[in-house]
Amino acid sequence: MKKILKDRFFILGFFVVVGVVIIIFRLFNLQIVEGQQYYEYSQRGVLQERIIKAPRGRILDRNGIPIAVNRMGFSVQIAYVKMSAEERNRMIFNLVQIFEKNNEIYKSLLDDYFLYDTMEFGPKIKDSQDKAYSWAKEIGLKIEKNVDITPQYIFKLLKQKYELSDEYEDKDAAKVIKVCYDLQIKGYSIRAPLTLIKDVKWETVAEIEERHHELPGVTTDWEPFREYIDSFYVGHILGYIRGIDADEYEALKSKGYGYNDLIGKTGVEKSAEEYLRGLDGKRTIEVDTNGRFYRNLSYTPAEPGKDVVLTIDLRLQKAVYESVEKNIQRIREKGGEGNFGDANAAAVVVLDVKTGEVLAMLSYPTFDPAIFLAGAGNKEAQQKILELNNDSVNTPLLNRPIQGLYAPGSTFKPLTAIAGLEEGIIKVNEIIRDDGIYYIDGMKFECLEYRHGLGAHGNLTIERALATSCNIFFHILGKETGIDNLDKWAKNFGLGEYTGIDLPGEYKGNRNSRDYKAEMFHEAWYPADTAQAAIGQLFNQFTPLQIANYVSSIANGGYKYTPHVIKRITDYDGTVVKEIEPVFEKIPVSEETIEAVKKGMVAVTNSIDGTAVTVFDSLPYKVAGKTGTAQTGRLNESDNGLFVCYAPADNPRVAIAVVVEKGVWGSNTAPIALDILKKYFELYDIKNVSDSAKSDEVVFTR
Amino acid sequence: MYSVEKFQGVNLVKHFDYFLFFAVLILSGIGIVVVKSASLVMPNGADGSRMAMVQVAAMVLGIVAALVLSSIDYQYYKNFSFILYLGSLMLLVLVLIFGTGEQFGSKSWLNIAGITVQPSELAKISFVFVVAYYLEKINESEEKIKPIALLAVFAAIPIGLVLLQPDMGTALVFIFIFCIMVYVAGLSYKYIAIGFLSSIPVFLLSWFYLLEDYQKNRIIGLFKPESGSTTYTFNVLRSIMAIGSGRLYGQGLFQGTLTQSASVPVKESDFIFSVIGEELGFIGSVAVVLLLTLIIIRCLYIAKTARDKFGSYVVSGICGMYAFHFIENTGMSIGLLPVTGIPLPFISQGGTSLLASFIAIGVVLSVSMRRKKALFEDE
Repeated sequence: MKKILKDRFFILGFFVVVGVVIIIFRLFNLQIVEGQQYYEYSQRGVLQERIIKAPRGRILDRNGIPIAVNRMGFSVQIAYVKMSAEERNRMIFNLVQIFEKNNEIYKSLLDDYFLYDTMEFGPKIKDSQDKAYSWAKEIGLKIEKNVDITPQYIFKLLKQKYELSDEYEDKDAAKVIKVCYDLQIKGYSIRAPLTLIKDVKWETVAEIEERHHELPGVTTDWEPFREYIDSFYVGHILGYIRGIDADEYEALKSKGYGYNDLIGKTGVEKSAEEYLRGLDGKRTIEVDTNGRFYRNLSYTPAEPGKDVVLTIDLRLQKAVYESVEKNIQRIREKGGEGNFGDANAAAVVVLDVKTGEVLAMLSYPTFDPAIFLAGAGNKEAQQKILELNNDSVNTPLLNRPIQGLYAPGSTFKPLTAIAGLEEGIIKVNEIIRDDGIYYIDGMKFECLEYRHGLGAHGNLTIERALATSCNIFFHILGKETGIDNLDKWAKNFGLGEYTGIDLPGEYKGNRNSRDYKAEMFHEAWYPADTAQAAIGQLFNQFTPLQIANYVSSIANGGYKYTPHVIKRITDYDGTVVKEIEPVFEKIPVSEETIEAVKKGMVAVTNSIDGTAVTVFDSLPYKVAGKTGTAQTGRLNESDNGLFVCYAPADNPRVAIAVVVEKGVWGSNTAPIALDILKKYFELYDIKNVSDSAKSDEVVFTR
Repeated sequence: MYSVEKFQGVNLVKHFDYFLFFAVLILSGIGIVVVKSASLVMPNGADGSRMAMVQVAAMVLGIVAALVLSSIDYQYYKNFSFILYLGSLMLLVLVLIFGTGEQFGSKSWLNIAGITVQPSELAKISFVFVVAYYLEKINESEEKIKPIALLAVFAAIPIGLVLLQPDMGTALVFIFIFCIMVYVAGLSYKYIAIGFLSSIPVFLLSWFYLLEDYQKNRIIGLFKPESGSTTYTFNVLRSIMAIGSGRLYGQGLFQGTLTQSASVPVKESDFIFSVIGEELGFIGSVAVVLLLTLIIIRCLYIAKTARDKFGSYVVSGICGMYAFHFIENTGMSIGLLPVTGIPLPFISQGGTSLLASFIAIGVVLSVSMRRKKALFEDE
């Protein structure tokens, strides 16, 4: 005995045995004595973690009119519950019948592979037997050797796989199979239920809850869904949300995005994503073995996204839309020389010249982003989305004000004047003579009036040249100023440069320059090119927003603002989180130059030798403007019509750019600007300018 | 010479320790099935489908390693023990720099070419060798001070590195192994008593100055698990519920309600015992406990009858490692011991851990084959 006590290995062994005895004793206590109690408790103690979807922030117009909001909708989940295949199929069949009764459309992954109604393979495997074979193999269908893989055969195997007995008619079996297939592919457990269908009707939810004994494992939950109001008018600005795609998910998963999340794809929904997106909450609940709620364990509330207030005035935006639609119709019907009746698209930008705020911005034809919110099961909406994507004539998804590229035509002339004045080529009252014809490098340039037998303009100052839009004057002035200076000043005014607007997908466009020509055509720059560039032709391609912003910079005395559509970000209770302050850059242009050009643009509206009269007759203040007509370079197609203006002329508040594709003449597009100005001054009543001027005649040249 | 005769006298087939080897095979076989069950449903839809496969691969590799190691005389390992030791120190340093696994509480994993390894698992074995080497030196040589000092230094370095991860549980394993080996080497009870008494102020000091709140909570939670809402007690309550609900026969393999709803946290490794308890019941749990006990007792017996002191110390150290892992892991699963991230030997998911367990068994088998008794019988 003493020897044993001295044996240190024995002592260690003794301690091990004591430890093991304690463990076994404890196990006996837990499993045998209290086992039944623990068993019963465990049967309802199944944990589920449910995400509480955070409502996305609202999007409002500048006056607080809601454009994008949320509403509560219901979804149906299914959790894994221990039961036989037969019981499971019965449960699914019950559920499918409830869906059908309430016209809920159930979209299955199986639809891509197998369609029972037409008894054919789906689009993913339609074209090859091999694909059909490997798909069937992958999902675990037992294909016999040397058998033709027909849809009928696959259907038989699917019935076998999901153990559908003969009591189901084939058409019912097909419906059950669709759900079974999704359960298999997407996976579901009692801990992580699978969402089968989203945004169902209240009736569906009521029936599921009422009949829950027949539907073990099926539960309902609610979550917020996006809803757009009057979104048709602001489609391109608003943008839309859709399911996150693989690339976005990879890039954003570290920020907490799930593979099922919705994300802004275009417009403000995209550019303000970080504010709009809320923080999902989480609740841990205990459910019983039928997946039914038992009690809450923990709860982290969702944090709603921030609201975004736009600079857009929805009332003005609607007026813009209505005017564009009306005038395009008018231009198409008007006829006349060079009018092929094909005007079909337009872009309008209305800027606040003192802040750079975008008050209205329309891309016509527009689209309603609401159709992008429709579920995958909504065939009508899916068809519409397809049409939007495939319409290559009208390209309705193109956001023309920032993505449409247009030659500015004569609306470029004020810039040529600025460059000439600033570079000291011409003085404010200096005269250049227009003889009707002018040769550069042996190339003949003609003034349009002269060609039409109306005689040359003769001696012109900048003011008169702008008023009459004399081509020869600007050919000569431009040639003297030189392409490098024209390029420099166009750049200074942001033409052919990103404006930095807070919308995704802005285009840069391009400017006439030696480099551009060399790069694109490998040719040297000639003085004749400069003469063309001076009247806005050749390679100039600007967005309507750039053009509007350039007019705004002239109007406000040389300040280039960064245009923006987001005015402020607020919490859901209205507390301001962030106010977007105006960002501007002073263009190094002298006051004299600006005044001279402004005089010219005002003179446009006061000239007696114009080609269009009385458009702005009814307005109680002066408007300064400029028309432009740009050839598209395509035969049998009308030219693009442009019109830019700002008002009131003596104390500018808004700058407008209107482009009508195939609008034939710049003057055709002016009535749109008139409608906008009328609406603007009706909404923002300005007493201080109302008596400064009465019925001015506005006269248009090209 | 006596020793030369011994070296030549081993018959690899005849003297192989079949009992120990098959006990280990059965246990790890059970382990793979249980890991498969535990990884069927993972929380938050994580993918656990590869886990059982990794486990099988590690087991096959482990069996090969164990067989090869057992056929080599363990005296040769002595020569390599320092290289092994330095190598594992290097890995422990690397894991501090490049390690991953903060989400589990400590930087314990290294990612090498897509394979994650846990260096501390391998370090345990080299630790055992180095400690055994010095203990033998101390026992045999006249000069005591120098080897004792070296032993202290070499033992302290890996413990310090593991504490930096910070992995308190694994550090405790090292300390425990060290204590067992020193005890077996014959440290007088007088010193042991002094050691015990002096550990009380150390414990008090560390309680008030060193331990983080979460570590204190784990110990407090031990005495009143129903009290807190901390994750710790929650995990243990879940584990206890799962084990209890297994009753006598268990709910059946792949059938456990809590296991198959991923309701027990880290059920595939730290809390694997809850899966055994729930799905295999009292019978299955006791069977696993008894198998592990048999392996440990067998190791003690081998240590006792080893040919020389070095072999005896090495096996004692490995035995201490198994015993600590086993008792601590099951103890925490049933709420008797504080929670640490220590795996259940031969069962818990984790390739490195399983491989290390098998390597250790290979060493034990090598010692076992060359025991005194077997040789005497041979003569």
